[in-house]
Amino acid sequence: MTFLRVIGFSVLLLLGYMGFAHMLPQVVPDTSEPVEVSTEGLDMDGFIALGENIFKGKGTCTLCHNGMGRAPDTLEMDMAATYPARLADPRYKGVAAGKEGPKAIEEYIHESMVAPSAFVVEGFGKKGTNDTESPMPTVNMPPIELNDVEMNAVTAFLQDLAGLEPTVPLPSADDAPVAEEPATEGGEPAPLLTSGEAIVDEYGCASCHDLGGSGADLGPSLYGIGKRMTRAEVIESIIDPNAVIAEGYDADFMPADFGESLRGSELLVLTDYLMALPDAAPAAGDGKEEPLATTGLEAIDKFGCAGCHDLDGSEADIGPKLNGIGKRMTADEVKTAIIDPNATIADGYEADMMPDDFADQMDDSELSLIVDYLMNLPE
Amino acid sequence: MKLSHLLALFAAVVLLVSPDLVFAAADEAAAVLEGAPKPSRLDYPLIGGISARTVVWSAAQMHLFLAAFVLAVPLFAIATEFMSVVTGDDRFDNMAREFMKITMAAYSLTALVGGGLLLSLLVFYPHLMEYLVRVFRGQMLIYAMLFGLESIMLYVYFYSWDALRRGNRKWYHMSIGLLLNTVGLTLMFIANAWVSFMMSPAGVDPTGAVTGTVWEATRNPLWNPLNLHRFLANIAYGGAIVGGYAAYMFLAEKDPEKKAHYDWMGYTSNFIAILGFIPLPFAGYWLMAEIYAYSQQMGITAMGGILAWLFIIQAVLIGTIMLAANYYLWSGLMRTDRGAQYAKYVKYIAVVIVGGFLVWLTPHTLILTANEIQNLGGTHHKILGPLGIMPAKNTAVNLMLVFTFMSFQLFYRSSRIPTVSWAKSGNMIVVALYVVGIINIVGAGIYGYITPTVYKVGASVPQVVSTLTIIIGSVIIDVFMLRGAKAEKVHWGRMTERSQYALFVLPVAFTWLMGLMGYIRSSLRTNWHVYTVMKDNSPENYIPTLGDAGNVITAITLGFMAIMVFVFWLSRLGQTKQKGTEDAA
Amino acid sequence: MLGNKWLVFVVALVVWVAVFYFIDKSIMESQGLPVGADLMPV
Repeated sequence: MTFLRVIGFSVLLLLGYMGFAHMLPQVVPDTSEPVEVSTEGLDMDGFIALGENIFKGKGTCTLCHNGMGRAPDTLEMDMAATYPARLADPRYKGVAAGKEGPKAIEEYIHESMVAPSAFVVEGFGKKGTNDTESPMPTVNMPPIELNDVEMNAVTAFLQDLAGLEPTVPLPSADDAPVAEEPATEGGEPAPLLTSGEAIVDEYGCASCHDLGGSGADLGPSLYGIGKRMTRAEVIESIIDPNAVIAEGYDADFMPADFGESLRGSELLVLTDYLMALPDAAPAAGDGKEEPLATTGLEAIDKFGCAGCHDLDGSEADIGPKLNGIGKRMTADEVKTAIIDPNATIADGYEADMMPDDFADQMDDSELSLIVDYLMNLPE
Repeated sequence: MKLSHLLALFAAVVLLVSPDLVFAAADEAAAVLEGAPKPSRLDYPLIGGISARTVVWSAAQMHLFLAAFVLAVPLFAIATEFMSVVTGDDRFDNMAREFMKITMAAYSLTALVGGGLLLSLLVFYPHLMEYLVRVFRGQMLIYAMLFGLESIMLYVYFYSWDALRRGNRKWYHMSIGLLLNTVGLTLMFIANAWVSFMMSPAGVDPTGAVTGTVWEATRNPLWNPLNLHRFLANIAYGGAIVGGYAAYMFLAEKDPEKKAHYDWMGYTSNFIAILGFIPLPFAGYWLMAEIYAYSQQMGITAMGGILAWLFIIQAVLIGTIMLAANYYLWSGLMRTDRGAQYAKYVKYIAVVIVGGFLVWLTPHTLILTANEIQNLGGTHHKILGPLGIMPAKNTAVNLMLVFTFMSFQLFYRSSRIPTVSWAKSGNMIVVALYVVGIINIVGAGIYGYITPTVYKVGASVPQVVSTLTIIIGSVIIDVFMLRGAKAEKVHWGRMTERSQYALFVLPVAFTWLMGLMGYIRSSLRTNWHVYTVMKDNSPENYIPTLGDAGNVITAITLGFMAIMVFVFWLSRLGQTKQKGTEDAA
Repeated sequence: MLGNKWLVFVVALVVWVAVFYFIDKSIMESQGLPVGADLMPV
């Protein structure tokens, strides 16, 4: 009896600990294998965006370069003024000592990555070394292991940050592919997307472009785009959509921030996916009909509402924001706005932007699920 | 016989320190520098649907539980034996022997599980093992040899107990015990070298090629911090488990005399557990500081990254350990007739301990305040948030330690009436020491809270030193003040049943805590077998979620508890004599 | 023997404060950190 009571007590205690471990937020690791993608065709804006991704992601720079006093807060400091001051600092004896200009700054940034102790900012040296030795790991060595292209991307980002024109060479076809590690350091809770389909899904491309049988026509069809454009042009259209506008379409429709929201390798994976698309949409009715959505969220996803409307943080602004719409409109008004979008146009938005065939596309149950979901959205 | 042991030990030490004396020739033959293996994902053996990591994890953790126990008990067994020689009190000697009896049954299981661990490593991670053997060369053979020696010493030490019990022979016996502990600690230090090498490799070049001696690989940056941390934790752990044994026997026995014996054994074990536990935060601080010094990345992964939540669980575990240990001590005040006069302080101590516990538990909500998000420069840096509240946690744990010690001191004094003339003044000096020390701990916490990170870490050292100063200072004063004190009768066995359950909390919580810390320590390497040198490309190279880890740790702990129940049962079986049929009913 | 116990208490307080101040100062300085200076709010 004593025995059973003691065992019962101990097991209960154990289960308590186990339960507590389950109560805490679970950091789900990304178990996908690192993807290697070619950086060929990336232009300077894309390269800077890649650099920023590496700086905040794989490079783990922001672990220390932040406002917490571990290392200089590179993202917040006035680097335009800082770089020339570093080069002129009498304590600095590195490769760019005494030189001036953007090229010298490039050399300085590169050196600070591969030989962090070449110049240690006052107060940030290892303890007891009188600022002669840096605690920073060498970034082209394990565990960070950035390759030359990646370090160039970071340099381009840092130069851009200081308001300088990047002087690093753009990657060529011969350069090593860029591998983006899964977010094991816990930096980004969102998992890295590694397939073109997943990226198209996540960013709602098909709600404006004809893709995956969506038939949408707000933007040009993406089928056969590999025949019409080069890889570099596709990348440019994604990160700077207004640079070239296809005939018959208007500027400023496509969100211009994909360069920031797509992670470096995602941009490249997406490009590869688009380049390989067939010339025309697969024939309809070949069994690829999407199943009926059973929740509001599923329906929203299926019809890609968040691609144009600001919805649950998508921040798209082609159509009006949908969060809090329940306070501005009644359920019937919302329903009408979906099936006959041109009946009433919200202030500051244009007519004929939203597809007017949702009444045909949607099942009645889906329509009411969406209306319910939208009416209950918090601000 | 003894001479040959000494020779073997000497040879082992020589080999350990400079194995190149023996292996130099072999090294020259393989002069080409070969880097660490780079197995691809497909090179890892897949056997059925078995999760290789879970198997190795379980075997390693179970081996560690058993080994920690088996290595720790002889340490305090010999200390207890020494006490019996000094005091001439046979109770100590009997208890030391009883400690060892439990160890004996656990020892062969340790070896068995160790064999299982080796086998599972060889099966599932052959490349890693091949590499480790390449780095540590003959040291692994020495380990096996020492293991054999350890077995011999253990059996000799235990079975010669009664033969070498009196007079000069006792000193022979204690010499064997000393030798046993030397071998045991050497074993642990060697195993620690392999583990710490995997975290902070030394004696190899960046590709992993072996460039240094075995001694260089052994003496890697994290070796000594790990040695100290495990040494202290083992003592605390061993004490806690023996305490659980004593508590069970206390509950099971009906005979008042035996009850008194096990009550006393439980009290002593609890004392040993807390004694090992109090300096642990200091060793932990040293280990963390060395991790930061070795690699900032690794340090941040532990304290600010994905593992930060884990320290909240650690807080809960340590909190329950502290509460349980204190509850037990307070219950113990009823053993003496004077205890009641101290009981009035208990509620204040309880408030501090529970308060400290809560401070340690709650702070994570602070991270999400708008102010803090603004200071951290947006949500991207919020993973660093927990660092910001480290001073609060440190303050809480130090206060909890100080007050736990105060509980001890109260119990100790409840059975002694000082007779020295300056007793009142002495008390005042002790009270002043507590007051100033506590103010210093709180002050350093506040100072750490409002200063940048480097100061936060820096300010935690004075806190720990304050705690140790209070403890050491008041022990020294007590020694002089209670000299020639009038002893009160301690009614051993006058304890509630409920208080014994507090003694079960300790081993359960300690075991789970050790499992958790093992998970943290291994996770620090992230997706490396040997940090920065050999990548882990296996399908399970990621850090498991807290919940998954909690499941595995709980399962291993349950397994360990089952083994311990078996071990206790075995050691009781040894002293059970067959009785008449009337007992069988 | 040592006089009034409260007097002893006050003297002990002062002495312990000095001891702890000395300990804190030497620990912080050995880490290259000033004591009491540069209290920058984080």
